Amino acid sequence: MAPASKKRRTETREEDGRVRTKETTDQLSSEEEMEAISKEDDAGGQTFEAKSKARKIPKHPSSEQEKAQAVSESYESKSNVFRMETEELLSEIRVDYRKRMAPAEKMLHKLKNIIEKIPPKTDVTIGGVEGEMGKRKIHIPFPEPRPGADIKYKFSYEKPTYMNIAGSYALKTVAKQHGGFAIDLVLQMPSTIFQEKDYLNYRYFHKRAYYLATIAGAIQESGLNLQLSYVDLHDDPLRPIIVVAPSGDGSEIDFTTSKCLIRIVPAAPKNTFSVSKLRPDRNAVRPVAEGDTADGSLPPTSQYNSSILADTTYFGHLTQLHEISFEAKAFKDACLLGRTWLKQRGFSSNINQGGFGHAEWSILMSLLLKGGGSKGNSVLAKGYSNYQMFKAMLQFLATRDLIMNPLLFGVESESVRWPKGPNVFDGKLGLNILFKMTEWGYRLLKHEAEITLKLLSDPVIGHFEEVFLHRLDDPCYKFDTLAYIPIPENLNKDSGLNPLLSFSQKLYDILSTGLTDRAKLIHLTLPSTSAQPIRPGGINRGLAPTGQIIAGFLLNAAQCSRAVDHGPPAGHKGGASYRAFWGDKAELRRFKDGSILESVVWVTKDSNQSIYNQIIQYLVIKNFGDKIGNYVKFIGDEYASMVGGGGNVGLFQPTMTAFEKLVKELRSLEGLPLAIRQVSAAASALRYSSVEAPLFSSGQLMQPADVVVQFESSGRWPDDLVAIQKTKIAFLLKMSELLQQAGAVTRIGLENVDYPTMNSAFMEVVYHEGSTFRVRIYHDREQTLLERQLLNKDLPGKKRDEITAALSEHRRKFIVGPLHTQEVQKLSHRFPALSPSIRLLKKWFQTHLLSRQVSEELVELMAIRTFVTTSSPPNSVMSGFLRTLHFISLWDWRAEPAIIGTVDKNASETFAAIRRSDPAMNRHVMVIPTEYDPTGTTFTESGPRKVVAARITALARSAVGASFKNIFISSTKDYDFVIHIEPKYNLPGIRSKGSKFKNLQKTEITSQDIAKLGLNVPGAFVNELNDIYGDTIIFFTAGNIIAGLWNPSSVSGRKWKVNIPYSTIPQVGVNDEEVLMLNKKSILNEISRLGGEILARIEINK
Amino acid sequence: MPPPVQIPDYTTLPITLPPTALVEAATHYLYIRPHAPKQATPDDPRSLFVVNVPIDATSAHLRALFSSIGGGRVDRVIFESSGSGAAATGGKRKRDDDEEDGEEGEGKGEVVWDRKLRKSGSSAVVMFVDKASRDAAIRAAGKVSKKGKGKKVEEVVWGEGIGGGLNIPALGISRYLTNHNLTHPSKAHLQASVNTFMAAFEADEAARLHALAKRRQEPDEDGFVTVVRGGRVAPARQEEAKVVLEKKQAKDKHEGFYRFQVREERKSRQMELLKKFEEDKKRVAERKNLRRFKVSLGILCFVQLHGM
Repeated sequence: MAPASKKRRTETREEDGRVRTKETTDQLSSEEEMEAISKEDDAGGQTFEAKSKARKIPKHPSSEQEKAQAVSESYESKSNVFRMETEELLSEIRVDYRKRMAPAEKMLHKLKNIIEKIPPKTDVTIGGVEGEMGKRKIHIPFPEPRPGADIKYKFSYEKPTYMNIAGSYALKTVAKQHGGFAIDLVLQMPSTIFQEKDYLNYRYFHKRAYYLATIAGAIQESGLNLQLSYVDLHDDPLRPIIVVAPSGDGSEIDFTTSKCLIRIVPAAPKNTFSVSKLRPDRNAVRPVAEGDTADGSLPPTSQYNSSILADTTYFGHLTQLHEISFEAKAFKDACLLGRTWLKQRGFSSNINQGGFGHAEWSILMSLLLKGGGSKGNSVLAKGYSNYQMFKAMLQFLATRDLIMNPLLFGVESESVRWPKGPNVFDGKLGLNILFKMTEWGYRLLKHEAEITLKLLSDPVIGHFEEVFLHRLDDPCYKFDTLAYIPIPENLNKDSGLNPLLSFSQKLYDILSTGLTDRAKLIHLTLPSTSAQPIRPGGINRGLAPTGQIIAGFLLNAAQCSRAVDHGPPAGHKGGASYRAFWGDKAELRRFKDGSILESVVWVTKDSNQSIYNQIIQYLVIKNFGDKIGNYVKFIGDEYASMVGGGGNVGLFQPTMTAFEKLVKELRSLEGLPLAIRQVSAAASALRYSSVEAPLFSSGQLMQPADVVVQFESSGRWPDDLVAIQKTKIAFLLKMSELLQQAGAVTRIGLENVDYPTMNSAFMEVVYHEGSTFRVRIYHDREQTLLERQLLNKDLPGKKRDEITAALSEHRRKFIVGPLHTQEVQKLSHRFPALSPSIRLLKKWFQTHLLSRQVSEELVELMAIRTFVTTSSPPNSVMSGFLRTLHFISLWDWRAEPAIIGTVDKNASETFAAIRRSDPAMNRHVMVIPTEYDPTGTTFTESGPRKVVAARITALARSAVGASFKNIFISSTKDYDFVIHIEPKYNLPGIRSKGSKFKNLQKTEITSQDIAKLGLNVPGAFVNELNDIYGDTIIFFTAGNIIAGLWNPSSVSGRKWKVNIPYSTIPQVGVNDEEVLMLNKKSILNEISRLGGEILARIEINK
Repeated sequence: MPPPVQIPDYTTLPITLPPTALVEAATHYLYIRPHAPKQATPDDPRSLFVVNVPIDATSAHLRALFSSIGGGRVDRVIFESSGSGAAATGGKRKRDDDEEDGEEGEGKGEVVWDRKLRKSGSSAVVMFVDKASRDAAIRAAGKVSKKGKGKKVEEVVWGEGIGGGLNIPALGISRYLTNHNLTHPSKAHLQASVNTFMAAFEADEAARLHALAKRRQEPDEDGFVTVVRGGRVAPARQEEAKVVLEKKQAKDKHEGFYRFQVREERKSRQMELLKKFEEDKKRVAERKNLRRFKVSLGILCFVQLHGM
């Protein structure tokens, strides 16, 4: 049966062009035909399934070995997991047609019957048409310009010659999606109602509008309970269609359960109009005054021509796609993948959403399966698997520039030029398939394809989720900076068919000229057009949709803050146009090298606005006036100004210089028993990532920055852990004595007093300008000694814990810490936006009182991941920060590590081992492996715990999509109690502002200051509380706030036991048994007594 | 409902924590019973076991407490060991003789806190001068806890009645400032302590080496000489020996020499791949169960996805 029906269908297609009004009764009804196709498809699908299985694993492997061989082959091509995931995805999004679509198909039947019964009308004048429809209260969706009252041509209605389902539904490449999908019911209007010259001056579109209104009227009057509206097909104002939505009343004809819309699309028969006259370089809209003159002298109306031709292509494309899907088995699946990929990135066939949707994807793919190569060969091979086809398609989109290098099918002449935007010209139809794409839409598509392609070629990680599962269409996450530009109320109507489009084109041209290489990509998002009711009296069509254009920019981080732009030299012929473009801003300047150039200079200081935003605002004001220019809203700068000093890395320069001085002085010390091998930094202040710039005002000491000194190896070190610590102190004492002689102030401090195996002392070095350092000595033998102790099986548990803690502390402080600092330093130079993004992210963690639980390094790694592992690194604080938050919100830390850079291939195995050894995640919750820390646990050892990690995820999720202001608002209501520290005992570094009066600011560092160096009262207090109350209370801190949560397992009462680790109240429980409840009041009393005058206030919420 | 006077074996002793500048007074409960450790000691009859001591308890506090309720004289108090100046985490709890606060631990290094704190819920052993005093204390505690039932007994306030002569270091800011100063000792002091330690360490080391050398030279009663580390050559380091051994083992292996080796290796590689394939399949299935393949199309959908 299958081949027969196929034959029949192609036959039908061939005769499409001719009038076949009388034979409609003989035709297979569309439903029956669909049924036939679907059966065929099922069969095809099964065989394909079987074949694909056969390819992977032979059905009856003669031996285990053969099977293994087959598997090993499959591993050679990329990752097998990715392929399996793809299959899963496809099975998830495929629609079960028979079950789900039955109600919709019933409806299609009904609509078809209604349309077939509409009586014909011939040769009605415009007056007659409007009168008739006015009486029936049906709005005729005439496109602008509306037909005048004096037009001579007549309108007619005749039954459609042919009706069928087209589009993705007919092809069965519909995917489940959020907003449902649409079934296209295409009606072929008979060519008898048109005349040869109707392609001119909107006549075709006016007749088409009347035809549509007649159908709308008939459906409306049929008494079916449906919601009807007119919508511009793909935002093309010339081509309205009817959208039928279900009533939702649960009646027999209600098709809500199918979750779809029905679109009624009128089509023109092929060859109604001469294709050659509608070529993109011809004119079809004559000025009113001159009448039908030769079109050579008039500007081409490419968009208009394409809109007419596009109406003739529905069935042609359907046949083409059907044929190709039989030839290339994976075609449909590749379409589904493409559809998902496009949808997640916000692309669709609508002009305002890029103009490249599923339809364009499949048509382009079908063309590329047949040709498109440089020597007439095909770009895609028919034997490709769905994944290969998808990837090859992306490869094509990413590498071929269709604007500079159009793709032509079936035409010889080079004359088929498309004014702006990409061109894929199908000579058979005379149509540029991508005619709906704007230049910016195309650039964005190409950019996205490039990004995805890079992800797909990552040898280590699959990136399946980023490619298909994550929704990535929010402009805040896509672009580095955004500008909302209002659309003028009265757009110039003479400027083209689509005034909004020509306005945006002009805007695009101006911005891309003005921003030069500061922006890598500019994209404009236009507001989408709204539906209109089919009853008159709805929205006035004459007005352009008001609203705003969202301009998104991908910046070039190295160039975007350049203050001066150079133009042509004085007297050069380009000078005039340069001056015309820049207006008053352009001035002649003489530069150091002696050249005199036209140039534009921007303000860098005393301005909250970044330079690129100044340029955008200036250009918009200059070209579109104050009314628009002054209302441009910029998004992005507020993120940068939230970071102290606007995120300028230069703020860290004094600290870095001081560090270099320290290194020099240490190296030049004479009289040390051993030579210094290495001095390395290990502090956030020395890797551009502390929240506040370390030396922000004179007269204040910075928080001491950690420095690690390593000596040349020597056999004279003692071979005992405690003795090593004492030797270190002796070294420090000697160093401090020598430094003191050189003029620095030094102190020796003790740490880990109760843990003899940990590092016990450090030396603080203070310079007079305020920089302070904390020097520790690294001795590589310690690690070996600690590890050897752990090998001892008789070690008591407590001692073992202590040694384990000492080992991880040693690794963090002396081995991984310095490496991490070095890496962050390096990356900050490579990515200018990294340092401010990290600092903003730390601020976010601080705002939400999480900085105690989340180590600084962990925050840094999270931000670095955004910069290193994505193929399009952020170039502004906003994108760096928001994309990291987005990542945090999506990171399933239970199931996967966040891998940074090129780590070992067995990173996932290491991770699996970590989880196996600790399935409850009591030790390592978040795991971030890097090159210098392959296990990825060094910085997450001390937190966050599981509860806190879950809270981080929840906070990040609520921050995604929130406004800038809301992201940084945190409430302490959720905590059980909140302790406020007296501000004067706060850390000096966090104080937001110095003295109110400039002359009162102290500029000298006194010895009292030095005596208090490193004193952190709130920190010491919380650490003590944490030791005393252990797991009973979880503390969250930031600045002068300490918030606490009672551990839920402590709050519920328990039976008597001696070692309950918290204060209790005895109570008589239900069964006369004693129950011990947590004594919250006494604990808070104890806390208050311990804190004494340090505490300002205690709020008890629960 | 009034709290019970007795819970198995223990008498509750409610005490009032005085109000502070920020929070009102609170009632704290001590649980007491005669001390009965697994290994009996002669001091047991006059010792009292106290559970849930307040975090700022000192011997002076407990002494004052028991004298105010009318118990006998306290000889000394032994608190549950707290390893650090604050409190240590740890499995087995040791007893820590804490007669005088701020006492230096044996050779534990520097003292950086002027007053030790107890972990929340920890215990102490209070040793009275004799058994009679202890029993009086238990009786008195029972009276205090029954006060709700008619009899008038004065409230017992924590920290009241401590003799003025005792100088208990204050909490609050002075505690932290003192700690800060103690963690930055003078260099001379530090130098001295390092010198002492190093001298002792070197002496120990020398003695140990001497003993070893002696054992190397003197045959034992069976006439054998024990082989021990040290001697003329420096002892070989374990790690170095291991590396040498590994190198040797690697050299001894002849991989890919015989055909059967090649075949076997290939086979094992294939088996590994097969295993990996199965594992991957399992993983994908797991993720499917987590509904990970739902294309996320909005916040709502996403939330549902992760089952949150």
